[in-house]
Amino acid sequence: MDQVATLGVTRPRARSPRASFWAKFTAQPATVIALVFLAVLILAAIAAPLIASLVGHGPNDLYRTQMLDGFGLPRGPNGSFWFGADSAGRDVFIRVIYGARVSLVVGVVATGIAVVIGVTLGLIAGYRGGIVDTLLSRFADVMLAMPLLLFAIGISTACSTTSAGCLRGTLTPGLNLVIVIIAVFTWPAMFRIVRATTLSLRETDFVEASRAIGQTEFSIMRSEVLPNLISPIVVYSALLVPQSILFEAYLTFLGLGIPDSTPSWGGMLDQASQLFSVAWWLMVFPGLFLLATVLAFNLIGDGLRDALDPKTPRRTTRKRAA
Amino acid sequence: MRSRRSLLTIAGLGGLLLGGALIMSACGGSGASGSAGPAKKGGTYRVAETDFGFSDNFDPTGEYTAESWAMYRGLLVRTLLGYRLTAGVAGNTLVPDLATRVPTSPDGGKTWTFSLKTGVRFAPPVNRAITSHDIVTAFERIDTPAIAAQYGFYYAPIAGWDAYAQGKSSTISGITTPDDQTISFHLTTATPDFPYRLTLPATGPIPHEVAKCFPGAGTYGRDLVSSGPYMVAGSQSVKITSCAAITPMSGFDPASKLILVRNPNYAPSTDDPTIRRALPDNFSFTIDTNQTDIFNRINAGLLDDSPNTPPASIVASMATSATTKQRIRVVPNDRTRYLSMNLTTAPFDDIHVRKAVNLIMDKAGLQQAQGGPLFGAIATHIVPDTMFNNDSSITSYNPYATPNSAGNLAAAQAEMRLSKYDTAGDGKCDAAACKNVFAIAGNTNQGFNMVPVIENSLAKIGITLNFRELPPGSAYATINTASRNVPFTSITGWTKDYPDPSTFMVLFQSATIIPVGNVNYSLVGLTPAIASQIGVPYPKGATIPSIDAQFGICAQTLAPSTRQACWIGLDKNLMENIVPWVPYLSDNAVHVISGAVTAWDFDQASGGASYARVAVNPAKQSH
Repeated sequence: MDQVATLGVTRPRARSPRASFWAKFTAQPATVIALVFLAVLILAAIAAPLIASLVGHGPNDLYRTQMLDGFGLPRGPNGSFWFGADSAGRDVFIRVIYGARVSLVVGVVATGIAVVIGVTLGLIAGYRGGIVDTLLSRFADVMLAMPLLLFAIGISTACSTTSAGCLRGTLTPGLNLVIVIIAVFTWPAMFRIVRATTLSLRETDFVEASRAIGQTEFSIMRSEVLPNLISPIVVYSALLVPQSILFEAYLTFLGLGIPDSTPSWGGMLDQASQLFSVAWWLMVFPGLFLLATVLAFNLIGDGLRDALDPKTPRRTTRKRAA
Repeated sequence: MRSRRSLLTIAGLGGLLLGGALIMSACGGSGASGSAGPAKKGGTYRVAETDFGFSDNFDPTGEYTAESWAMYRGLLVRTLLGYRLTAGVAGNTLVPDLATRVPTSPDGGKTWTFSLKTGVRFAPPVNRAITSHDIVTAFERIDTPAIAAQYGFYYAPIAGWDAYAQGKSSTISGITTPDDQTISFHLTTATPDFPYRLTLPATGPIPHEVAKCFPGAGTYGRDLVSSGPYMVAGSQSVKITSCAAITPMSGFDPASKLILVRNPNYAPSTDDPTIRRALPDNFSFTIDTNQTDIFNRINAGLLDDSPNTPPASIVASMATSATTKQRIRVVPNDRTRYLSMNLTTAPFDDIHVRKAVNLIMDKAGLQQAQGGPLFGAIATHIVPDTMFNNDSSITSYNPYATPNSAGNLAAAQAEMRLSKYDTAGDGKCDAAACKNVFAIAGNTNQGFNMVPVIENSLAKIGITLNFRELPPGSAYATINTASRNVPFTSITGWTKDYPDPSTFMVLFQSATIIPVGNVNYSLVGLTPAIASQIGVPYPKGATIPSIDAQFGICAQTLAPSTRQACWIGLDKNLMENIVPWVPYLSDNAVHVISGAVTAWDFDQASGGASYARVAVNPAKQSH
C-alpha cells in the first residue's frame, strides 16, 4: 500500500496537459461564453437552409408587397420577419444567418491559407538564416508596407470587370477572390512571429542535439521546431480570424467583395449605410453579429494564449491558495 | 445623353397617387411653394449638389450633362434656337432665341438660314454685340479634334466639316455669314432635325478674341463669357488684352462653387421674358458631398434646390404633411431605363431568349427598386411617349404586356421553348450558356435592389446571372469598352439630347459601335468588319440585325407627321424583331425645394430645374 495513502494524506492529482489546458481555457467565463456563441453560430450557419425552410423565407426571396412601404422603404421587425426586411424586401434574419456562412468561411479559410504560408516561410527563414532569411524577411516587409486596402480595391476591381476574372481565370470575382486577397495580405504577420520564435528555438540544446545525431534540416524543422511553435500559431490564428472577417466586411462594404446575391454581413452593412436614418435594423443586426463574432474570436484567442502560456497561473490553484 | 443623376435613393410603390398629384402640379408650369408668397425679383437662389460632375470642366463645347445644360440654357448661354424652358411637351417646343424666328429649309433640310436679333451683347469682359461670326467660332471649336466636343457628330452633315477637322481648310465651308446678323448652314444630306441640333449649348456664341486663348479640351469653362441673363461672378475683373492676361473668373471653382450674378449687358427686350424670367439676383451652386445633409438643409431653408434626387426617407417624411408635400416636384423626364442584352453573346444571341426575358421580367419590381411610381412609369418600348407627343399609336403599345407588369411565366416559357437553348422543351433554358451569365449592375441602392428582382425573374426560365455590382463609373467604363462584350447590363438608361426620337435611335446604329465609349451595348448592326475592329468575336453562322437603312429613311424624312410615324415604326421594329432591351422605366425627375422658393419650373429639354424660371423670397430663407 502506498505509504502516503496509508498516512491519510491525499496526493495531489497530476493533471494531464490536455486537462490542464482545458481548465485554464475555461477558467474565464468570457471565453466560455464566446465559445458557446461561436458554436451556436456555426451550427446556425450550417443549418441555414433548414432554418430558412422552417421560417419559410429564402435569403433572396422578395417580399415587396409585405415588407416595403408606400415609399419603397423597408418595414422593421415583426412576428414573421424578426429582424425586419432590407430595401429589396428580403428577410434580414435569414440573410444574417446566411451571412454567417460567408464570414466564417472567409475567416477560417483565409486564415488557414495565411497560416500555411506564414508558418512555412517563417520556419524556413528563421531556421536557415542568412540570405534566405534576408530575402524572405524583406519580401514580408514589402507586403506589410503595401497600402493594403488600396491594393485590395485595385485587385478586386480589376478582376470584377470581366467574366474571366484575372490571371486567365485563376481569380474570378467573388468569395474566392476575397479569400485570396485576405490571405495574401495577412500571412506576413504570422511569418514574423514564426520566424522570431524559430530564431531562438534553433539555438536550443534539443535542436543542437538533433543536429549532432545527423537529423536533416527538414526533419529538425518538422519534428523539433514546429511542435514548439504550436502555441503562438494557435493563439495568433485565433486573432487572425476576426481580422479576416472584418477585412471581408470592408471589401464588401466598398462593393468589391461578395456579390449581393450571396448574403454577407459586410454587404448588408454597405446597403444599410444609405438607409440607417429610417431603417435602423439594417445596420444593427448584421453589425451586432459581426461585432459579437469578432469579439468572440478575440476572446478565444486571449483564452488560448492564457491556456497555452505555462506562466499563467491556474485560477483554481489561486483560489485554493487564497 | 447619359444624364447624371444621383442614385442614392429609393422611394416607393405606394407613391402612385401622390406621384400623380405631384406630376400634375409640376406640369402645370411654374409652381409656387405656397406660403413663400408671390414670385418677385431679388435674392439668391441657392443650389447644392454632391458633385458638379462636369464631363468637360464646364466648357460648353464639350459639356454633356443634364445639369450643365440646364445652367447654360437658363442662365449663361443663348443659342440660335431654344426651348420654352418649361415642363412637359411645351418644354420640347422649338422657339427662337438668338435668331429672329425658327426657319424652314427651302430645299428639304439641306440649307438652314438664320437672322440674328440685334442688341444681344456678350457679358463682361467682352462687352460687345454678338454676331454671326461668334457662332462660327463655336462651330470651329466643335470641329477641332483637340477640343474633343463630345457630341460633335451631330454636325457632321455640314459641308466641309471633315476638311476643317483635318486641317485641310481654314474655314468650315458649309457655314457662311453674309453679314454680322446672318448665318447659313449648308448640309451634305437632308437633315430635318438640324434646327434642334442648334439648341445644344456647344453651338452658343463664343467671342473669337477669347476662344483663341483656349485651344484645348475643357479649358474655356473657367472663363465662359456669358450671352445669357447671368454671368460668372468676377467676369468683369478678367482682362482680355492678351491670352496671358486672362485669369479664371473668381466666382467659379470647379471643386467647390459656381456663383452667378446678373449680366449687366443682358437686354430683356432681346429675349422672351415669359421664358427667361430671370428673377433672382444671384445664383449660388455649391458642392456638399453629403447628400442627406443637402436635403436636410433644403428642409431647414438653408438651401433652395438640388439637382440630386432626394432620398426616399426625405420624400416620405415630406409627403406626410400638406405643407411640405407642396415642396416636392415630380416631372416626367424623357428618359428610359432599360436592361441591355448583347446580341453577340449566348444565350442572348437567340431572339426567343430575349423575348422570353421581356415576358418574364418583373417590371413592377424594377420600378419599385428604382423608387416606385413616384420615380417613373413602367416603360413598354424604347422612346418615351412624350418624345412622340403622346401619339396614341404608341402610348398603348406594349408588346410584352404581363399581368400587373410582374412577368408572365407561361408566355415566357412558351417563347423559351422556341429557343435553341431549351432542348428539353420545358420552357427553361437548359444549356450551359444560360448558367452564370456575366452581368454588370451599379452598386447604388437602386442597383442593389434591382439585382434580386432580375435574378428571381430570369431564374424562372432557367437563366442564372453572375452579377458584378460596380460603382457607376467603373460599371460604365466596363460596358462602354466594346471588347469586354458584357452579355447583360442593368445600370443603363438614356436621355434625349434634343426632342427628336433620333437621339434614342442612334444607340442602335452600327456607326455608333466604337471600341471605347460605346453606347450600343447590344451591338445592334454589328458586322464582321466592325467586330474585328473592336475586338469582339462575331458569332458563327449568325446575322446580327441592323436598323441602319430604316434609320436613314426616318432621319431624312421632313414632314413631321410622317417622320414621327417612321420613328414609331422603328421603335416597334426594335421591340418585336430585334429586342435588344427590356425597357422598364420612363423616368421622372424628383426635386425637393425649400419653403422660400416662390416659383419653380422644369426645363424639359435639358432635364433639370429651369433656373430661368425660379424665384425665391429672401425673407423666408434661413442663413
